[in-house]
Amino acid sequence: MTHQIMAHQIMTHHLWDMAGVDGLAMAKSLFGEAIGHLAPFQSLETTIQHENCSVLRLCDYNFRIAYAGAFDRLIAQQLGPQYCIWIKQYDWLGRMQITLDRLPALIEQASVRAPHRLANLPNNQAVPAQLDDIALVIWRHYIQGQPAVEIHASQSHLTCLKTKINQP
Amino acid sequence: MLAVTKEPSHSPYLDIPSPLGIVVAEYRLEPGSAQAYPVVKGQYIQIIDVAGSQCSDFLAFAEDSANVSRSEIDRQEIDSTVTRTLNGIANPQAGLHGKYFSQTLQPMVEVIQSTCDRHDSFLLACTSRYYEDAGYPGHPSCSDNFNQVLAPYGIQPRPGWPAINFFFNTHINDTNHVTAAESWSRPGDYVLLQAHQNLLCASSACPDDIDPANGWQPTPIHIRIYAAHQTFPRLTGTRIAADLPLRLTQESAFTPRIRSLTDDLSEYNSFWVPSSFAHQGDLAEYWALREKAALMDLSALRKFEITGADAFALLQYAFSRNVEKITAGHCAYGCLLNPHGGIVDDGIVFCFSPTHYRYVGNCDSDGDWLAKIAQHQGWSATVTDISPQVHNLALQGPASGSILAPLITPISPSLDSFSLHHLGYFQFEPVWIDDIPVLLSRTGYTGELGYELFVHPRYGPQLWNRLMAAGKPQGLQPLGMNALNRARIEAGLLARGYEFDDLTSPYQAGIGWTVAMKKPDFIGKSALEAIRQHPPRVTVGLVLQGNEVAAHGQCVFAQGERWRVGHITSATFSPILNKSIAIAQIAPEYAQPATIVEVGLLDGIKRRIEATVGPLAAFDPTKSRARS
Repeated sequence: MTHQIMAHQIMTHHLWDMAGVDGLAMAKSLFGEAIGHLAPFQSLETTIQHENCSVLRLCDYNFRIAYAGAFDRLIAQQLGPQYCIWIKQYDWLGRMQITLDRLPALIEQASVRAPHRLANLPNNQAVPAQLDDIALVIWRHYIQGQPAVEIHASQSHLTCLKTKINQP
Repeated sequence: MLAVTKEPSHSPYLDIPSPLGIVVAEYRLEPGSAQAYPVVKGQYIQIIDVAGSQCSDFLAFAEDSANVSRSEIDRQEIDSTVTRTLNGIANPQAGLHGKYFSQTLQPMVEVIQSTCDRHDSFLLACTSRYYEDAGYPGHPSCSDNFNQVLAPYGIQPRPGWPAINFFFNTHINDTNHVTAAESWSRPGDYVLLQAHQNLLCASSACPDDIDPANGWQPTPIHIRIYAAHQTFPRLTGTRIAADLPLRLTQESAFTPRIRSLTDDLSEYNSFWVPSSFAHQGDLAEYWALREKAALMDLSALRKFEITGADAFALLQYAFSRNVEKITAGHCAYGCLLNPHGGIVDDGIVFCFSPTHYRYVGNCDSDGDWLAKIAQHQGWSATVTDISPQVHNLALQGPASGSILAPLITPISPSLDSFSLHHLGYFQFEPVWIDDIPVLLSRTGYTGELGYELFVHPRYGPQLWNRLMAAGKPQGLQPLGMNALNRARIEAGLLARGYEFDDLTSPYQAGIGWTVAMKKPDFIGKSALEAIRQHPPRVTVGLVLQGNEVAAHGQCVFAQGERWRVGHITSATFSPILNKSIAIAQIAPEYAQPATIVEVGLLDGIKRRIEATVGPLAAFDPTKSRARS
């Protein structure tokens, strides 16, 4: 069973996307100054209201937050007129999870466009990649305290993607 | 096809450069003709402008593996719009953004080398309609020529082909018009492409003789096809000056090590330099610089040795600083000047003795300029370009000293007690790092405590490895140009082409302090005496309201007014200040600290952002960190 996708059944968090010209400022107010140290496609682990939370920086002002709670309501409390941002849950964005030991096989199957690299993907790092014709984000980070690999792809590709990844 | 050879390069054509490798086919296109030719995946296509100023339009169609043409609908061909979109530049260039793509976003060919940096990807190959509208009905056109040579392959004719028009000099001007003029290419200039698929290609030697596109006189184009499985370095040719040879992109001694850490390199000043590093990114590199240490390759700087009895006199006359005050073992930042007070280049003069100096700047032409002055003045001074023998790293950041200190021993036996803390700001010393001889200077371009290490290229990889290993426990990271640019803007350090050029005086560029006006005479002195009374603009730092980042060239307005007071030269978001900052050149009347101005974003009207005038360096304006 180690070759099977196992964790998608137990994932509890949701993906929240946050962006806007004040995206970084809001992220700092929520997660602290450390967020400003992240480069695009780097992430950090934190907690919000005692819930684990992973924050992935996608570009200067754009972040994806993996969080089990109602992130939109949470930041609505902090959102003043000084912040020009939006928060969304994309209904077309799907996710799945594989165990860390499956990462080498996935890296073997997937490809990336330069200058991105898959080799030696460190923890708290993501990379946009392709598996055959399917676009995905491979994100290595901690989920519920355990090292894992989370994959984001179009909902429409998830079933196919799971099949491809589970092929020996 | 005119000739086929399998040997590496005995071309019968004597009017073009020798072949680059093993030629499998070559074609001579007479003026006003076109040629279709097959190319196998992996092979190379060299398109050579034989006599100069001649355009050559190019088409490529994907073939299936059996070399049978697909149907018209399914056939993949180069799509300029796709290519521009995916690359983010008007024309692909050798390197990361070098591929031409099809309409399904598949790579068709890749630019491996180009010795002329002006091509067209916006316009059609010339058409009958163009000539008819100009009063030349029946004039041959590239599109018609393509139709003829492609017909045998079952490709339907088109009245106008959207081609890649190599050597065609077009430009989109400020009024959004596409202008065309004579090609920039010289005799022998070429583009070398590599096929990413099996292709049917077509090239033309443009017949246009009714406008300057081909210099009014169409001439031949030569096509060479090179065998696959050869490797040619990726390079771009740059012309610095009319009297200097073509400069080809080169690697520094450190580039092989850098390439192992990133694929994100771009051409800068004729060197391949990293933009950022994989799994790291410019922000991580930036923070390593500000909090720990960072290592960067600055070998693209040019180095000139100035020796002789009049070496001092030459630099005292050509360089803005008072060279009398630069004693042996010291160096100073300043600029080379022209007679009207413009900055030829900025750089650092190192003094070894009054008859031996080194100038480290940006331009190949700096040495020629110094030599020309010496000759004109009748001075005994020799200027030698030592750039090929001296590459350099910069180790910068608060931990740079503690990383470096245990590694160095002085070369001079008289300095047994020398240690790194003896090396003052803008001082230098020859040292050993292991068995590597290094000229170590306490200089940098980041606003941090830092050092530059000048070394012979043969020691480059060894030095890189030694420093990276020594710095790893302290968080040393390699740093790319993106992070460096962010740091230098914070520190108010100038970049050629952004803050100054040869029309900009030091007083305008913010380095008036480097001009030693008390010197009896120097180039540009009389012009600068007048300029410094009231420079047309002065350079300041701006802190913008909000988080939007300005861009080079955007206008700065007086508060609440429609008229401009200056423009942005560089801008970034400062992570350490958590503010959007910029360097701007504005009218002196608005340069007082705390003055509020407005930066015009977008079209300058839709969004105005208030900005506060401050010191040139928004971060650590007293340079306390660099001096620490």
